[in-house]
Amino acid sequence: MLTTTDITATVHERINALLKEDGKPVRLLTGDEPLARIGLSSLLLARLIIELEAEFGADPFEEDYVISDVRTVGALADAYVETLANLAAAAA
Amino acid sequence: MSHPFLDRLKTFGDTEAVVFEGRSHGYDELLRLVDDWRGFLDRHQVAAGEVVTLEGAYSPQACAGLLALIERGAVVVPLSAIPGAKRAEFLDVAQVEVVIEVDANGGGHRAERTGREATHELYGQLCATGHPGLVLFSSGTTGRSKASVLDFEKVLGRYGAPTRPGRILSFLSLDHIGGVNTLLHTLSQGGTVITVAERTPDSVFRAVDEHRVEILPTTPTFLNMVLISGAHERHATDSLRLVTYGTEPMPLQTLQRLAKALPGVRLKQTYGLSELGILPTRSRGDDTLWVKLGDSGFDHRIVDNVLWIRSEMAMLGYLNAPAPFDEEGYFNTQDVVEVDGDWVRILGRNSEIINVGGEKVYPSEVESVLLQLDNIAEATVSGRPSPVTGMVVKATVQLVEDEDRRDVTRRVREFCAQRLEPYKVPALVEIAAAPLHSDRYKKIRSLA
Repeated sequence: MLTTTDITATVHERINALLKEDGKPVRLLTGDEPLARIGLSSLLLARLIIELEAEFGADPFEEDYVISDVRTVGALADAYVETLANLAAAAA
Repeated sequence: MSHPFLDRLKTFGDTEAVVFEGRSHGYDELLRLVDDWRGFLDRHQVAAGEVVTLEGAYSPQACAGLLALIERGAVVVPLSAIPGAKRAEFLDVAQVEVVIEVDANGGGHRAERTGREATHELYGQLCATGHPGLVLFSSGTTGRSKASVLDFEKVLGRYGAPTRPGRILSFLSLDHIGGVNTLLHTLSQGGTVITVAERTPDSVFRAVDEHRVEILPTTPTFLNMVLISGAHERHATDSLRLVTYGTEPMPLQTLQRLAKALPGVRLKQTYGLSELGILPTRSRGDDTLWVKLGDSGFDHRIVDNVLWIRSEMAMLGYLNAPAPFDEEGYFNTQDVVEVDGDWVRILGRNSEIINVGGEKVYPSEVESVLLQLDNIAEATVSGRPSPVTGMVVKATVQLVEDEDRRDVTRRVREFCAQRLEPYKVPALVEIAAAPLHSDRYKKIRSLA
């Protein structure tokens, strides 16, 4: 099972891969960064969520979370951490 | 030979007409720019009835150019920055005779004749009335954009006597019916159009704060990004009295959060199509998607849950497609609606169209680009729900030979990015194990 650290690292890595592809500077993310201020346009954010679903096999925004409530990179990672934990608990 | 619309603008004197790059321009200044444009159009012998592009970013110069072309009786084709191949297609479809590139700082506008002659029957109809025209493009099923021809006098005829001048932020560009409507309606009322260089939540809300914007027309995707960014909390919004949203279905959760985030601001759904104009609407409440479609200049009926609209300012037709009007002049919007008495709730298009953040994508256009790629035998493009932009474009491809999915995705994205607008580039690429069996979706390379 993926740990919180694994999930957070993957979220950060995917964000930076998208920023790099879009010609924007890559940065070391701590989680405190406002999601809207790291250079992700709405199209890139939409792609990020699709890529994370492919990576984790879960989409927190299908039911439990609303994207407009997510303000920071850390809050986005937490949505995946909690969704994956809930899925694991349900499967146990 | 001044146009009555320009005569009306003269009555507003030095009232603020346009704010551009933070600088205010009065009506008197705007009309001086129109006068400069008259000289420019004379020098280039642009005559009534000629089909002319107006290319460039939103600026007072572009606004003045539009007004001068209306006065001249030209058929205006407003274009914003688009890929070269798309621009060439637009010039061809619209039979553009003169291209004009606007210099936002003035003095450096460029005009060039294309050598084409506009002979389309719809232009002939316009010419017979002596009215100026407007050509707007929207996505087409075949991959070629559809060009609507509108009678500019009918567009202007929608705007009544000045009653309540407002300060409105211009969110859409002049190649969109919403952008044209915002500009001309605001000017007809003696109001002020505030422009922004980029449409990020912070730049828009900074402009709301600094320029006391009262009306903010937006899209649901933009409002989603506003809530994520918290831009409305960093800037004063006390001047705002109305936020409108349109061009794509609004998620109810976004609307409800917005109503809480901007208490005291009325939230209203708008509904418009380049073929018909912008309908007057009234929302049942700030946190509901039920809306009443106005009947001033429009009427509608619902057939098998699909909305049909008749409009006094409807286009004359498409330059390159049959127009879907019935014998009584109602236009099939293809939007599926729910009905509750006089209220309707718009559920979205009953068609293959993919609405990405308000931008329309027809699968066939993207499929035909995908089929130009090496190692792709078949391609299917469809919409995939997104919590951010409503939908994104998903491509499913069948390969000729095995290839790593990441390599295929990278090639698809790079290739499409050079040929398509960003919102049309597939956000997701899947590889089909078996041939894509579907009558509509199946595409064979030899047919591409």
